[in-house]
Amino acid sequence: MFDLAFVVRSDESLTKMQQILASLRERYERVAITDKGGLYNTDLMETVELGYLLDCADALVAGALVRTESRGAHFREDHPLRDDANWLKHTLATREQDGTIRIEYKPVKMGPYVPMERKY
Amino acid sequence: MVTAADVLDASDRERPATETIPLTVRVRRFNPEVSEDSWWDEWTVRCDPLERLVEVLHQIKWHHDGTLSFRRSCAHGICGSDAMLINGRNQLACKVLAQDVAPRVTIEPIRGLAVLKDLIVDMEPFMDGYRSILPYLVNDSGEPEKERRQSPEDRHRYDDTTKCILCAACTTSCPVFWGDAGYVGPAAIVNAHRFIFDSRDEGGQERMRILSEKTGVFRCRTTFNCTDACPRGIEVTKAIQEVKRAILFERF
Repeated sequence: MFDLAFVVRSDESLTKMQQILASLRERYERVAITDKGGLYNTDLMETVELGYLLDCADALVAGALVRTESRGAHFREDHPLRDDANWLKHTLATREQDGTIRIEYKPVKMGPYVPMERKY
Repeated sequence: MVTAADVLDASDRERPATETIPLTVRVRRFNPEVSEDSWWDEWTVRCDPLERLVEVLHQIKWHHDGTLSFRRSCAHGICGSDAMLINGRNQLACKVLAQDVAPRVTIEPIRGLAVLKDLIVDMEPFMDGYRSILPYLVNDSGEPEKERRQSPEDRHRYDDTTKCILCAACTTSCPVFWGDAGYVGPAAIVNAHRFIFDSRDEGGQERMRILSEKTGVFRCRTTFNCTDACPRGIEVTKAIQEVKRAILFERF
């Protein structure tokens, strides 16, 4: 994730990351732990949390892949410009029963500032 | 234009290849589901000399024995979760370098608190002491219209004791606390000091009343173990003496 889906991303890097995540998820289906105890079982806890990390990674990569613009900490080197006309909206990711991720959008509540591209 | 490949290469270049060193880690284990008594386990691993002990413990947990249990959170010396007795001294596992203890290190749980499993102790008696001294701003003179201002000198008065991260390294190195868990302990007094000497706070009298009881500051025998143990470099014993002096001479 640090190498392929960090601040600088591209269609290529995110697609590759998606494949890596699919293989990690397949491995996670067969995960095993050595601590079978009922007391402070941090082995179990970390393993459960690893599944949550995979969920977050899936949602992040799916959202970043379809967002064909650059905005804040999401820099798409294949789409370096900000695109308010199409992408001024929040991404909502939901996992479907079959494991695929459904992407929806929610409008942005506007505050007192007019949004615009940041220039230095 | 920067490509993902460039980013990959750059981060790879930043990681210098270092030679690993062998480190034998001896840990006092305890698990009431397995045995009433504690036992010792030993692993020899290879690690980067600049690696922190908490990462060495991770290596053992993730690759050798998943049952090894210890608390850690930030792994950067600020959350205060991984205080342990390392080679006989209370330290944070995330601040001790492998090269400073190699070739052999002995790790035990901090003392004076009941061990629950391996390096995890029951922190409740420690937190009871902390809660007893009202560790929050007390000010009943009504809500101010603006922020409560303070001069740099007044802020400096209690600066040292704001650094506490509640890791319990000081309290569990204190021989008085080992002998009597009723003593509030150095960490509680440090946090009382942080508010007693805060010019915006009005709860100092109440805190000094609590700390003048027999579980309070006068149990301190100025052993200085707390000052030695503090991973944040707080002058703990000095802070305790300042609270003693305030109780004796400022009358409350």
